[in-house]
Amino acid sequence: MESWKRTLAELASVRLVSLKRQAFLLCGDEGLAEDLVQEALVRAFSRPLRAPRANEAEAYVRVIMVNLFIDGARSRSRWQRTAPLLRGTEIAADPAEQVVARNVMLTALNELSPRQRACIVLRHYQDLPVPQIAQALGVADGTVKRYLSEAMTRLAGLLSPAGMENGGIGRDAPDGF
Amino acid sequence: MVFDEHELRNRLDAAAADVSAPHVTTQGLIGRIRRRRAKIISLFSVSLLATATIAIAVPIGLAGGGNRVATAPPSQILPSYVLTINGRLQIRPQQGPAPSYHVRDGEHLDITVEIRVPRQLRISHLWLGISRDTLGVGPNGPVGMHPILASPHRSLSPGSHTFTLHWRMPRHKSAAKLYLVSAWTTHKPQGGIAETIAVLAP
Repeated sequence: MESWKRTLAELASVRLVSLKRQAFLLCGDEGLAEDLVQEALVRAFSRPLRAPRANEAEAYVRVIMVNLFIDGARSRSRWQRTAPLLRGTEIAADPAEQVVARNVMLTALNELSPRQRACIVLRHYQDLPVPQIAQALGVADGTVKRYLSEAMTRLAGLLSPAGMENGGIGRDAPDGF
Repeated sequence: MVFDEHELRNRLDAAAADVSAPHVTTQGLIGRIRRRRAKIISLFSVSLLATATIAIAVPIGLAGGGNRVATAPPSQILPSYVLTINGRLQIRPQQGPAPSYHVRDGEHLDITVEIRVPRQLRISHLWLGISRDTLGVGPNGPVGMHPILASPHRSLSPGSHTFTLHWRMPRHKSAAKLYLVSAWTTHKPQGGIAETIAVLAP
């Protein structure tokens, strides 16, 4: 078996769920998360001369996933700005569901800009240091710190009891890029 | 407002915990990657071929290797001249009239001729001299050039070549005007040109 196939097989058998979890936190939808993982894996191994080595394949795929998400979010942003106007009363959910931590967390994450969200997931879910996040996103360390600071402030307002009581989630539009 | 990072980490873990296993298989991924690789290699091959074609075609065109340039008559590609006669500088362009110099009978002329050979031209023989009326060039050299003031025994490659000439105007000339002339030949294509590069008039 060729080396890239062996690397891919190992990654797919052991780390696929972990990859999908990160993708899910990025995009908030299981179907999209699966697409994101698959596309990132295909892109990572598609370059005949630059297939990742076994020890760095997972990190490489995760970086591709983040960038695919940000690029995709950029192209979807127009639809996302107009979609809430069309949904009307569908937004109103059963109060019982709102206490489910998962939905609350995802809804709060939806309030962040794609880059802020990516920084939060990479820093606080993947435990990546700031320089590594900056390298993955192609920005300066200071920019990542700013994204993290802004995101944390926003999440604090959205996830705190006071914030939730005041209906903080959904009040403000996400920041731009 | 302070937000506990530990709490955020726990919430993220909890939100991601219920994600179902992906439905993708390794074989399915390998198939997609193979197709993508074939597409990339195909695009790369096409771009490489296009680049190679341009890399070969452009220098040939510029070097005159094409039929159109190679068969062009020598009169299409002409040298230009920069003349200085007794300190007065004038230019004989590739196209256009020869410059005129006001000279006196018996005047000594210090002439500098700078001939600028264009890139597409290689002059095999050059003659510089004075002509009174008819002028031409044949296999044996110029016709109607008396005297021949310079005739370098070498070919002239593209670029600038300077010749210094000295001549005294005749006191009793048979024609109203004399001409400083140039005659030159080329091997490829075989041919020659004789041309006036300055008019010497009283």
